[in-house]
Amino acid sequence: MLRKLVCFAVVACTLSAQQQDPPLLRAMSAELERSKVMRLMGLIPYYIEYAVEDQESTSVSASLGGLLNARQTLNRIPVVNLRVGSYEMDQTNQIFAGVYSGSRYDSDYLPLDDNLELIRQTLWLATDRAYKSGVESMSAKQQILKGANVTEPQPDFWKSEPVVNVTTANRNKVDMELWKTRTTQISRVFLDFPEVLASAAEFDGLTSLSHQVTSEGTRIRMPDYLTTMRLRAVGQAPDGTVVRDATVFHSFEDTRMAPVAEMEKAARSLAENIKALVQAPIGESYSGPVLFEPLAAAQLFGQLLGDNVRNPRRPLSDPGRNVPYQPSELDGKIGSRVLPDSFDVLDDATQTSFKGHTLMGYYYIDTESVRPKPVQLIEKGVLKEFLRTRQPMKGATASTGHARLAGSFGHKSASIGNLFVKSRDTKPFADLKKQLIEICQQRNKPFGILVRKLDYPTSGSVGELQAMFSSHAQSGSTTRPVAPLVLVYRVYPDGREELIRNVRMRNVSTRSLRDILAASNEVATFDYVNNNAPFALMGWAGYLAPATVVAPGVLFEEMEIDRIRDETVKPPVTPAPALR
Amino acid sequence: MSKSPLALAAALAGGLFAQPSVKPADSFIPILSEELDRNFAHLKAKADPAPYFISYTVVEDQSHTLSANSGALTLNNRQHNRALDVSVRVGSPKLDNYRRIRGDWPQFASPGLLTLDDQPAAIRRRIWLDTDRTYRAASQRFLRLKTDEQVKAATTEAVDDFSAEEAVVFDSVPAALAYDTNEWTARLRRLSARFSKFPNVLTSNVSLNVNREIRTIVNTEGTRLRQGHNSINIFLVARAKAGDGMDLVVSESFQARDFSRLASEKEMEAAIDKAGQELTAMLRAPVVDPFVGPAILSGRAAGVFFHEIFGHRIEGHRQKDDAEGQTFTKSINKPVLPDFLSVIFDPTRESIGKIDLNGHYIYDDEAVKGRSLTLVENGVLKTFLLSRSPVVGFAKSNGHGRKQLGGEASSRQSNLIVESSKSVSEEKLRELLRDELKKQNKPYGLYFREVTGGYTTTGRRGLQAYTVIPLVVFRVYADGRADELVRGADIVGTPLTSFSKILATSDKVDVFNGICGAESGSVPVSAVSPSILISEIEVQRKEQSRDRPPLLSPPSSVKGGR
Repeated sequence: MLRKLVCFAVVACTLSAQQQDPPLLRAMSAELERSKVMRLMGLIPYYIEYAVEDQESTSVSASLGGLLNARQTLNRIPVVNLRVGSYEMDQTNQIFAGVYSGSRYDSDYLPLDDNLELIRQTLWLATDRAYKSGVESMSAKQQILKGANVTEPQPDFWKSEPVVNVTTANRNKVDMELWKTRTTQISRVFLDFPEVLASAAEFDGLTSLSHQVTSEGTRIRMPDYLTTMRLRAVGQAPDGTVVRDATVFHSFEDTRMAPVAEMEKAARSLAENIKALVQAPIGESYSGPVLFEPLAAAQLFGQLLGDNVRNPRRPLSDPGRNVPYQPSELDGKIGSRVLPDSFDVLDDATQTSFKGHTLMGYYYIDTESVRPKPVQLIEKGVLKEFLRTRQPMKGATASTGHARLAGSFGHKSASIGNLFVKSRDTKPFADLKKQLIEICQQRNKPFGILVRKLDYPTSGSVGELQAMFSSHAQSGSTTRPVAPLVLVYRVYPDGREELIRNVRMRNVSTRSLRDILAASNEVATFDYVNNNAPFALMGWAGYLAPATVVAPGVLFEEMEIDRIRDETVKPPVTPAPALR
Repeated sequence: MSKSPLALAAALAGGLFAQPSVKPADSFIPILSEELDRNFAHLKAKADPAPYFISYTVVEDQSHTLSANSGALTLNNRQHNRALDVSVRVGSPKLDNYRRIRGDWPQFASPGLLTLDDQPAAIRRRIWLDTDRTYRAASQRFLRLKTDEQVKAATTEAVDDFSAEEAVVFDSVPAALAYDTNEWTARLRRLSARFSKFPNVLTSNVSLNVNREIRTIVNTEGTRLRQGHNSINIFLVARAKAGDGMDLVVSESFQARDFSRLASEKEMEAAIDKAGQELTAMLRAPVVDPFVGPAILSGRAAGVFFHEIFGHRIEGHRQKDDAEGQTFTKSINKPVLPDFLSVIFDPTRESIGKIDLNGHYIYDDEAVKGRSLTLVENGVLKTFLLSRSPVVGFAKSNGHGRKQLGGEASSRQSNLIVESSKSVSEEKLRELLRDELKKQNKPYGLYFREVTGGYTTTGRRGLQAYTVIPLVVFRVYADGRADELVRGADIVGTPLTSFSKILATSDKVDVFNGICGAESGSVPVSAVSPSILISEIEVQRKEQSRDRPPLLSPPSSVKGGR
């Protein structure tokens, strides 16, 4: 009797907690609960997840002191994820996951008003579509399984403990007028630099209330913020080569952004870089020691490790079919050395700051309702683990809470949070530079190479990115492309540095990391936003996963630098118009 | 003399309110024309091949969309941007980089954003870079064309690429529309909530779009043109799914240039009720059988019919492109329609009755004044729709060169108006239909009341065909019993045969306002026509979705669901 009473009390308690939820969350829970009974072909929706970003998005862009665009929009975008079958076997992890041949009735947006009935109506239609798609995908999977032999069968989805965190607080509002003034003001800096052909300052402020509800019992309503200010500048050398540089400032709340003076200073140094680059001599192909300053090293680690410490599963498909799937470069390397013995690499999205610097890779919960855990990815140079989502992987039993980006074949994609690259054997950066010179002298090289900055995340356009990829394909490089170089210097025996341009890294991959000779005491904290675009293309829309890489400067014993010989566009026939 | 601070404040406020919208004589056109002159002078002096014409088109677009669904607001978006399209012509009007050859369309424009405020440095830079980029693309294509001309046999009669036209100096921008966002939000909530009365409607929407577009064109011929255009668009749509999986949709729209000319809330309510009722009735309506026989197209349906099967085929540029079917190229002064029909294109026409026409403009997008044209007079083709790209026998534009931002102007439709000298009352037209049914020994004919648009293929390769997508279709029985709503009909056919089968028209004209998409982008158009009786029309069953209606009942139907 007592037991029953207790049970009642618990139920009543949960109910009342849910009844007190804010309206949007309440509507989500109610519709999710109702959807559990759907059944076609004996398939139940064993897992349902609703996510709604109730967000205000503010975008401002300006050039040379003039406002190009200012926009503030409110929207609520619902995302329904639904799995049919069971954790052991559902419709995902196969090439037809997500197919749907029917028509769509659910809207892209939920109402901005807290109209419970209409919120539920939209979720109802979206869930219906997701369920039918699940059943269709499942049937496609079963057809594949009739013909394909699966050697190491694995479950399709890992269970996870529910997380409940419901705040009633509202989100902050971004003052668009203020940012119009600030963005325009920062863009004005470029008026002093006729060498800069095109420039822009772009502000993005996202303030959101993230809502998540799952059939496992997760209930989340939490604020989520991301503020960015991108500064870009482009110039053209007399031979036509286009040179670019960009700087991005990040913070969570817009009130915590860097002061305007600091951003103006960054714009000025960007313009100075362009001015220097257009006058810089063209570099040559080089093979030898290359020194990365801490920022450039952090950018390189962000790309090389960031892209490869996740390892999605190969989807099931008909034998012989071409599958659009690329495994990690580190696939099969667990237990193998990937960095020198002195290196450890940790991803820790639970940390909020490092030496006074706010870590942008902090987050409370991932998009699969799992809280992130610190992951010792590399220990004493040996690869220990991959970052994981809830897609089961051989040799592991649970997600590490890193499902942050859209993925393929019914799964999310893992993305780094705060990546700490540490060395136990460091020395002052100045000593690294000395070492670089020494090696060059030993090998009779007239100079060594120093890299101060990469174009990562890349500031080029989508078209430029495509051109870069096709140029890479023709370069004979045996590795995947890496981000372009921005600031590269010849370092002469007397320590003098000379900026060069038109060079890129060649045959650089995670394998190159084993050629690291030394690391610096000084470390950089490099913030950027990962997304689903190559080289984390700046300003890309969709899922955003802010990250911070903390890394020392590093000296590579051997790296190939290649002269870029792509055709260039002639400089304009007409001289530039006056800026003032 | 003293002024109290209060009075001053009031004066300032008054001043602000007095000119909320009309742009004052500002620095924008001077910035554009100075940079135009500078670039043109340099390119002419230093570039080879040199440009002979440059024009800049700047489109400033201010748009506000409010959208509501079942009584709740779903969207409230404002947009404001100003973008530049550059056009550069190299060579000479006889042969330049814009020549169309064998379906290869010139495309140079790629809109660049300009600052919203008249910031000279920023605007000049953008213009300078875009002019240079466009010049390069233009000269590259020109060299290709020259080679092509040398090595390949001429396939068409020699005709120039660019007509000579008068320069235009004109500045007219209407005041921005004044409206109360809160009031409209409340109205859209009220209106959209009306769809809740129809439980079978799966999804519905009522939206308001208020748009203000200011186009500025400057060119090296001396044109300095600025014209503005306000538009208000109310769109309502409701969708449902029949038990057999067929997707059903009913929509209605209201346009006006001014809120005072917009349909009243009462009229919108009535339209929503009608849409809801018809959608509900359609769910129970029989699916149409493939049918060949007589039919009446309502004025709006007939307008779309003419727009698709006739309008697109008399666009000038299609007459000089070998890849086109060129249905009417050699038909000037020949009969192309029944002799009781005339077709007029008139962009100067602002409205018909209470309805504002979408295809109205003063100057086209090549800065040529729009004018009223009788394309077909008593069935005989007189001219084509012409941009500044001449056609054999027609050296000048007739003000129909149109484009969307980012497109290259080509001849496009404006307000298409069908006139008939053989019109009878709507009632009489039905009688004629019944007579025709008896003559053809058919139990029923069809009445197409609403269509949502269509498409046509005009290419030489492939079938010369068109499709018009009907929304509301009835069977009209020969024996006089009540009309019966049917669902799932698509009109299909080949153009030339369809024209010859028009028997008569009614005396009631109606307007279809829409957006027409083609090579040069989307442009607003209208089609005005009386109802027409056709002796034979072919209808096929719409390709149909087969997925089932939602598995669960709607949340509103569940007890405690609210």
